[in-house]
Amino acid sequence: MDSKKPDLHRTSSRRSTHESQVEGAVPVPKTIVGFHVDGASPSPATEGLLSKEAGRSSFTEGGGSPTPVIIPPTFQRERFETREPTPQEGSAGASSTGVAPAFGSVPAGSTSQQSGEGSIASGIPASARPKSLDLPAPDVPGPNTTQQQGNSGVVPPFVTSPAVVQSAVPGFEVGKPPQSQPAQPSAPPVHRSPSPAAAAPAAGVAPSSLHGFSVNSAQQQTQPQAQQAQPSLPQQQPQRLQQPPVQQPQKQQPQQPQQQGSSAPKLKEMSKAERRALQEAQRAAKAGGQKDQDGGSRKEGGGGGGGGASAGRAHSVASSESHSSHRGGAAGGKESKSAATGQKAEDKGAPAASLGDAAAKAPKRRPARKVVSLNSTELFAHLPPYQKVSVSSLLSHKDAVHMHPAVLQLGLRYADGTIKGATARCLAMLHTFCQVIQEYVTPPGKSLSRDLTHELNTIIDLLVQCRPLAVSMANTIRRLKMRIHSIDVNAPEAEAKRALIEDIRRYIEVQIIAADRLLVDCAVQKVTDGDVILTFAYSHIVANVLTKAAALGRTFKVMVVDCRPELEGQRMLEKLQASGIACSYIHLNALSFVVRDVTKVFLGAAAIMSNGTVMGRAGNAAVAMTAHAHSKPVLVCCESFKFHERVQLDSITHNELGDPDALVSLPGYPGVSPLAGWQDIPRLGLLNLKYDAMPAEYVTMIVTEYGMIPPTSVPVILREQQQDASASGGGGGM
Amino acid sequence: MAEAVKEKPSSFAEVVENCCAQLRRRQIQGSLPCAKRTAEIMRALLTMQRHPDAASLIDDVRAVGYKLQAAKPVELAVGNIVRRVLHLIREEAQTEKSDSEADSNDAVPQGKADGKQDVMKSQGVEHLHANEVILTLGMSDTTYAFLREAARKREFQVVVAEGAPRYDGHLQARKLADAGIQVTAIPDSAVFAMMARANKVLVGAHAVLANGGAIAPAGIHMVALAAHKHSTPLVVLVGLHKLSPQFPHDPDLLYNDFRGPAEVADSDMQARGLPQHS
Repeated sequence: MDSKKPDLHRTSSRRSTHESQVEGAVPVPKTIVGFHVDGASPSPATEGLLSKEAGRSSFTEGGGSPTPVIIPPTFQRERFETREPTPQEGSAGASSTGVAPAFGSVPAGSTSQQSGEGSIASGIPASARPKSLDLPAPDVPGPNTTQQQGNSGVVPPFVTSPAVVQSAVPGFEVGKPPQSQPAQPSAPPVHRSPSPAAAAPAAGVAPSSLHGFSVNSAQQQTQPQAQQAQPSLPQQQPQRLQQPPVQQPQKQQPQQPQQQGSSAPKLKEMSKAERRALQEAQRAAKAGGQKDQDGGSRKEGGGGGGGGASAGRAHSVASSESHSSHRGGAAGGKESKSAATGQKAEDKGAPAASLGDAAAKAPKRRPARKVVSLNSTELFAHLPPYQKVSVSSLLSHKDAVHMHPAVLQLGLRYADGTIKGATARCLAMLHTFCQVIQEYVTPPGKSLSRDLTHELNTIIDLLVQCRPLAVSMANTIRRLKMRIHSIDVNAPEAEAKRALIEDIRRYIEVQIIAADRLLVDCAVQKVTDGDVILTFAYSHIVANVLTKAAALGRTFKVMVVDCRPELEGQRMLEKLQASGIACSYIHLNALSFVVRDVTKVFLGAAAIMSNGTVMGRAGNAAVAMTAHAHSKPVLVCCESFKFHERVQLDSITHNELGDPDALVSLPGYPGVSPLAGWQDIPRLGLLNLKYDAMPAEYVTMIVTEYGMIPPTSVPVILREQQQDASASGGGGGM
Repeated sequence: MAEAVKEKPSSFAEVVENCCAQLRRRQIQGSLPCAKRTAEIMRALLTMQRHPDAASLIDDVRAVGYKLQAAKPVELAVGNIVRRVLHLIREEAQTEKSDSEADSNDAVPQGKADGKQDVMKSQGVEHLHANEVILTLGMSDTTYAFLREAARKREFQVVVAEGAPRYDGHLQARKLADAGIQVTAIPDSAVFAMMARANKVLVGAHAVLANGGAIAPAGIHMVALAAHKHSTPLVVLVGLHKLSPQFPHDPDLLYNDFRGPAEVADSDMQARGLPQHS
């Protein structure tokens, strides 16, 4: 123990000095109480530590595990080595000075583990500021947190959890026993009873003694606060006791995922409003002279504004509290009981304040704060952020080792854009599936259909990591799974596999190859001599239509419209030129000038929704809109397997985010783009959307293998497809 | 008048010729520099030559104006300034009947530049509310000054479309971000998608025509159509020197500036388009 925690001894000594300094210090057993917030990363081998320290300390030294320690709000004013406990933590709320040292020691110990945090309070704020344990906590926890979250623009959903949990815990502790002080002896049992954590029975004993003491005092102060606390807080307790919190100013970030995982169930037990109320109450309790520095607020970057106010506020509470605690410690003020009582009064006042008041107080407390939570990239926070995929990153996937190499190859081809386009990706996926199924062997004791489905799910997860699924792929997978589900359990494996592969081949043949042929034959009728046809980016089906028309001897010209950053129109241009078609090539911005000379517009699609909205490459909608404005007919060529039954209203709800750095690279542009180094500029974000939703009103006609249909007939086709699928039922093809 | 012209005929004619050459070679870029240069020429005309009466002055101004405008027909600011000068001359002639109109001319160039800036500054805050999303395309000094001034009192964010193939949207995005405004840079293809979330569109223009149309860098028509579809207000920020009394029947052809294809299609692409020989 000593060897493990030399700092602890140091802390103890400090604690003792501190105790002596504190007036009227009550000799308190040198136990350290902390509250492990569930959701913190699990500490390794905690049980051994717990048993050892049953007698003296009830905190676990989680070799770096981030266990925030909840410090009672009264301890904010207490003078600690380094930092004051944040008010959040205040659930322990031991106003008694005697307890303070005990709490103080905890942080010290934890501090030792982490760089310079010092006090218990610092442990919790650490959660808010995982990376830098410097005390002057950035006042803007929201931006800080989000900044730490990363620049993906997607705020991880668990951002709120650590801070919220922390706040919850104190509340929990406080509220737990709204019993009066006489209930003190019962407090420990109360604390412990809900704890299902059998792992810390010993630990529970130790803290209980202290808890009783501290809880008592805590209850006095925080009772009103407790009453406001969420009723479901008691559930937090078990986690807390389970691992007697070690306060370690942990790096919040790495722990967040873990925290989130474990704290998620607890948090959900409280309603969002309750959590919010608790946060506000705690923050208000801390009110007073908080000058949140604005340092971190500028660094929003792509992090997004804290994923919403709740996350921002949660973290702001944590960091601001840590900050205030730091201030209290730095002031070195002698936290006399008057201060404590002052705190108490504040605490009492705080719970009385409504949520609105607390919220109103919050901005007042940070007058200098100018957090810009506006960020267009946040609009896409619901979409997975772009992730660069490399061979190593793919191989590090947990299932990669067992995966068929063809799958890995496919994933890499998706990621780097070698295989692009809805149809091409779907085809490649089906071919890979055929390979996998061919070489698949059912493990003994398992049914083919179920295990194969599981296998496919693993494959699909891997592919999704490389690039999100296209609608065409999703449709195909759904039908494939239905087909696999219908495999007869008693059929011999080889036969079942053969039939399955046969069905997949037939699906490809019918839905893709034959459909394309019919589609081209249909659309070619619309290409007449003397036409000037406009097309956008690359669509294999439109390219086929135009080359077929040229082969039939029609004379026409093609205008290829291209756009950044993909510049797929160049591929289309090459293909058309190879067929000897006279082409022009323009950028999307020049479209309004050339569209007057265009006679028809042929576009491809990635998917068509049931309200006629056409999803295509970004820029498709602009082309259709301009053509419509000049009264040019727009024909969308799309096979029916890309139809989807959902309804899409705009381009934001369903989309795909591409590589933002693709915007910065300007081939052929003299010099470097001013956007270079955008990651370091706090207020600059880049957005690279892959898809675009074209409203049905711009579409004159949709050409499918069934013929030419108006956009309003898409649900009819979908309905017929569903009927066919159910009619063929479990029998046969996909 | 003949003597007056002979005083420094070559120098003034040289000055005019110099300016025309610069305009033709696109050495003077942008409406404001062209307008300023034209105003300087006008002032030089007044100071370098003596004119007995308003009629002769008007003739001279018109002659020089035609020359300058012919040097760059696309640059409507040149003609606008000349017309303003003519208007001032006629006003003066009506009111004062004096033969020295140098004073009126001096006020023209300075007043324009300053007045524009002040007006922009005052109106920025009026038209933007908090938490707004402004969409803009490319680079415009007017828009930049407008937004920067408004950002002092309002908190909003700007979405900048890059405006290929000039890519000056990159510069605009960078400048706005450096000025402390939250900026998102998007490619032109995403304008339609982002228009759904934009509250206003603020753009600069090259010129504004008498029928209310605006000539602006390529891509503005698409932005305007998208704004119309989403019922988003489109605001064009221009200085007075860009307001033109012309009614062009086909501005796309008459007032368009065509640049080389290398910015859009590099040499390899162009080579592929050549007839294939064995």
